[in-house]
Amino acid sequence: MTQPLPHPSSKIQDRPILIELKRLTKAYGQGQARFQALKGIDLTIYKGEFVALMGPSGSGKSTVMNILGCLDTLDTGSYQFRDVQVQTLSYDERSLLRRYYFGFIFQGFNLLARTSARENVELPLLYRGITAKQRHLASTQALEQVGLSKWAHHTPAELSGGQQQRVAIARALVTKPQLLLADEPTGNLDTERSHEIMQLLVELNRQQDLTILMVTHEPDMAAYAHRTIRFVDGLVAAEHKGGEHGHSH
Amino acid sequence: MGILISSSLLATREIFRQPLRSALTVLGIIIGVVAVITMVTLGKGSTQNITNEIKSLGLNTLEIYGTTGVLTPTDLDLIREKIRRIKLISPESSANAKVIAGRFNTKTNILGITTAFFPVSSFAVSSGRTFTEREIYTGAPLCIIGKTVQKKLFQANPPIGNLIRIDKFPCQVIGIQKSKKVGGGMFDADDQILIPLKTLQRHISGQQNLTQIRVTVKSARYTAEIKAELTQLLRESHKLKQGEQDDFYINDPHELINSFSKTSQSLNLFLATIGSISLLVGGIGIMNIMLASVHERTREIGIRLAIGALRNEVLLQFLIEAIFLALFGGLIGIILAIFLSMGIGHVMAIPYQFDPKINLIAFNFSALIGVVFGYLPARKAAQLDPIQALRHE
Repeated sequence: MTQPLPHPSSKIQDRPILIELKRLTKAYGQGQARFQALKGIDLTIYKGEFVALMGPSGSGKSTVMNILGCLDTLDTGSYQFRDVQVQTLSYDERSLLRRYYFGFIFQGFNLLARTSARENVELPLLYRGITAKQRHLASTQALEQVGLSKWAHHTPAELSGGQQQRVAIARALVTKPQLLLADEPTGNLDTERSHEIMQLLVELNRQQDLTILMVTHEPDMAAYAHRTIRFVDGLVAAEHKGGEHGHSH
Repeated sequence: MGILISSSLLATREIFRQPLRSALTVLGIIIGVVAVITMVTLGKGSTQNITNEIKSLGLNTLEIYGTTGVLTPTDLDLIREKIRRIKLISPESSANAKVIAGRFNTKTNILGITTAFFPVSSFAVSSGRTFTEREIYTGAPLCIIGKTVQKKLFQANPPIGNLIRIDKFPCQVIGIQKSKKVGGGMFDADDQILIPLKTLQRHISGQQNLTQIRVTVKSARYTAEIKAELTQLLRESHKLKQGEQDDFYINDPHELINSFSKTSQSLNLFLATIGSISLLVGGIGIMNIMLASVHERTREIGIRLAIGALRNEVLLQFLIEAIFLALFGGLIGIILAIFLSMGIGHVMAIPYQFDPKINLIAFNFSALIGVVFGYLPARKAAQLDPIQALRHE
């Protein structure tokens, strides 16, 4: 057993910086339809942090998420991930960054239909060129972590929403990523399921020192995070410790 | 490597998830492959048939016949005297005549022959006998009739021993020619009567000229040389000046086979072109369904891109799917073509022979079509924006 990690929120500034955004801007559309989604975002995420991004729709939280996840590019400013200036990377290099360092979970789960839970979990390993045997081992472990060992052969259609999101989490975890990007992970789940998923995320964050960025519009879910960053009109409006209202679980 | 295997498995699964839809998608390819393979196989079979027919007439047999001139008994004597390395000489003369037996009559070809005719033509009787040397020499009033003539003159009655009148000249039937029916030929080899050459010349045609002289060479190797010798000899005999055209023709079966296979080659090319067009149409079908598939699976593509698939890997995945789909069609086509070729071959009396080359070509061509027509949809998939793709419903 490794030494138990100190609770990340205790002394967050002592930890290394994982992500640093500086004066990040992003606009969509042209001419009249031009929409300035981000107007200069400065943001620092430390390793092992669990951060919630909140804000009304159109506030820029999803845009920041997409840029952080390398699914979108920034217009101006800089995005540093570890020692990499992400804005200088090519499309394929950003794909490789996702492949080797990031895990994603989405509101709509986004599992491959007609494909078993195990195959869904193994999918990212396929792109890493891992052998079938190793894939099987890793997917078994990941499914166990999310408590779905018995459901490995079921397709998403045979699983409940909560189970589907667990499969998605297993898929994100199986590569042992450094950053987990969760886009409204509980948006399609009932309250009980939502809290279960959040507890799973907190557990992963504590046990594996996994850095988690989560977009949510539910204060109850944001409360699980160490820190909540609130976006309004393309700018960071406020930061709180813990959830939106400052309370912590 | 893992991607290749998983893409292949996925492609196979996609194809068999909706087998009917997949089969309909590749219908064009199936038709194209069936058409090309069946036509080429049957074409080859019938070429083989005709080549065999030519070979059965004897590869070392040269046929000499008059074109603008005639072949005379002098020519025959000269050939007998001057040309070495000859095994058999069969002089033949034919005439059309009206033949009567009892209350039936018919018009047919009367062929005057000598004993050499039988080995040169690999001739056999199905009943009765052939002429003896002596009967040929004396010009006996005897005849051997073909099956067609037999049917017309005797119906079901036994003809052997009966008298028939060839242009009023009475001949006794001593044999029935073994049927030489050849599939697809316009010429009916059974519609003829054989009589001794001398009998024909004396009593029916009333002239000494020959329609044809057939010469069997001791070895097929010499045919070209002997053809040249014969040409020179006949030109001298016919007193043709230099620059004047031959008034006869010498048929070498080798040349016939060559020219025939050349014709069938260009025919094959034509058939292959037609097949290629249907294959192209099949390719468009594949492109269509692949575009639909890319649209249907936009979310899947988004997921793959999000978890770090490179554009080329997505492109490869869909390309493999298109190739597998095309090969699926090609394989069905090949199987159907085998049965169709066997069936048609059976009906048309063409021997079936599996041709690995054309099957391999068809198979590879199917794959090529998959690549060509799968590329555009695959590229479309690879160029999708992951964010948009993930939002797709």
